[in-house]
Amino acid sequence: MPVENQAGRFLPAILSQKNRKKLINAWGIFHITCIILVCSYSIYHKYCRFYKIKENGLVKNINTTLLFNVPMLYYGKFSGTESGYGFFAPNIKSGGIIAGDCDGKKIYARFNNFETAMRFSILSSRITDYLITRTDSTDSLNINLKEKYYNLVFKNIAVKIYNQNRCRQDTLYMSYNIIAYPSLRQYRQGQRGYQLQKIKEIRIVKQ
Amino acid sequence: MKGHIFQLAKNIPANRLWLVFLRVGISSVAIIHFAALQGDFNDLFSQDSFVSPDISDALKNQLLPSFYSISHVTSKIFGIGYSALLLTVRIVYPIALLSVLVGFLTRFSALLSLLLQLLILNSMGLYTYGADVFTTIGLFYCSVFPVGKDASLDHLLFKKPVITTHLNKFLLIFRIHICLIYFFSGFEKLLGYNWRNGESMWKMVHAYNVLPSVDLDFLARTPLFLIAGWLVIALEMLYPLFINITKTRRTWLWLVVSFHIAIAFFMGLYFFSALMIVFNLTAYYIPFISHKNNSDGPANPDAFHDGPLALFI
Repeated sequence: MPVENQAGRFLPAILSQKNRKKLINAWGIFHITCIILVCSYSIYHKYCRFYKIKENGLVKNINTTLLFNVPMLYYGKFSGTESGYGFFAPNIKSGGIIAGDCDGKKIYARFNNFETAMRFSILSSRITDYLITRTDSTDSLNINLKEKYYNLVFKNIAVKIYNQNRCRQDTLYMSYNIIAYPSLRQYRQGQRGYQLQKIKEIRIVKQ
Repeated sequence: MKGHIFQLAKNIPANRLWLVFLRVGISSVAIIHFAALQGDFNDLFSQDSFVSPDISDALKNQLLPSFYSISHVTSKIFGIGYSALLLTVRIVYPIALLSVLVGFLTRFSALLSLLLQLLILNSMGLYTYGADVFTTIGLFYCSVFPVGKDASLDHLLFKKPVITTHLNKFLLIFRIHICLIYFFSGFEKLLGYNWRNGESMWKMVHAYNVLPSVDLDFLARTPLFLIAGWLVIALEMLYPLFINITKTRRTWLWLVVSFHIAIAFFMGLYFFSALMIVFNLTAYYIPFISHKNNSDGPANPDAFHDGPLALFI
């Protein structure tokens, strides 16, 4: 049954001012509760991962039941509340660099603007982070699949960099590296300069 | 032009100006952000990209489609291949954002922008970062809040009456979200010992510094990095408290805005910082701007002063 709202327009009964108020209240409470729950679990999860502590089964189960179901995952995705907001926390990840050796020179991915270069550095850091923490997982099947996947990603990137730099060599060496700066404590003790630590290298042969 | 914009802003009731600012701010940043990718668009998305679409697709969120998964369907049904689909999105997404900016079919345009943004993100999962999440949040609120009621083509063309009953509730929800973002961000930093001993600030200065000419190594023996680490934690964790106290609001707001400007120039996170500044100004600066010809009654910018839960009762 239509009712007249304050604006003098006829709306279906469900959208009357009273129901609209209830709807907004309910959504507001739901929305804020979602954010609090997701952020709380995100903190707990990252804390356990950082300090290598086993997660409490009950907490994990509650999180899975409440938040890890299709409607909630969709809601989180659309509202930007699917994950926590702890950027650069609890620790700042090491920066990763993907570099190749071609014709005796170091070659890198090339970009036309800063934004894409930054996004690529995020990709590098993400893969580097995976390479460092891959042994943390206890799921061997997962490790194996991820290993294969990242190898594929790695080769793809290598081929692209090879083509971008118009490399004429038949063989290209591509490596993932971490830029290791001395820590504040090491610096105070006199250690200077940074090192490029190679954590993975592959060889691409042109066929 | 400047005078015209100022006049336009003056004609908007004070309690609705923040909605216009949110709409214009988010859509502007999103348009520029998308434009910034255009120079290397093919290197990110095309068949010849760094991570080819089929490989990228394997890691996508299964709830949402990607360019690659949609192109499978469109090529079979409409004969639209991957490249054509990519071009379509490349044209439609900025148009949708422009529609949000000028307030044309605002809610529909915001929803379309949100869907396309999620599609783009799902097709480049390995390259996403914080700015993308905040764009999603901004577009989501543009889809939910009545952001197209003022200073918009919708207002000019359709002359719809504005229902102002729930605006303070929307503002409160938005503010709580911002406060939670800062609180949890600070809390997570507090848990990492490297933020408490200055090592994280030191690492940030070296690993994420886009201004190599700025060398702060000579300060290594001072407690600057230790203090800076604690200041960041305090600034974020105490944000919900001090931003909602009238006496400290302005100071805390400018501290946070300065913090984001520093992040932008020092770490190169321009779009992330721009979005956070838009969020902060929308929530805690614009609602406090008042003007004389307020035709809609007094604004209630201090939503928290009634008690956060008062608006839900």
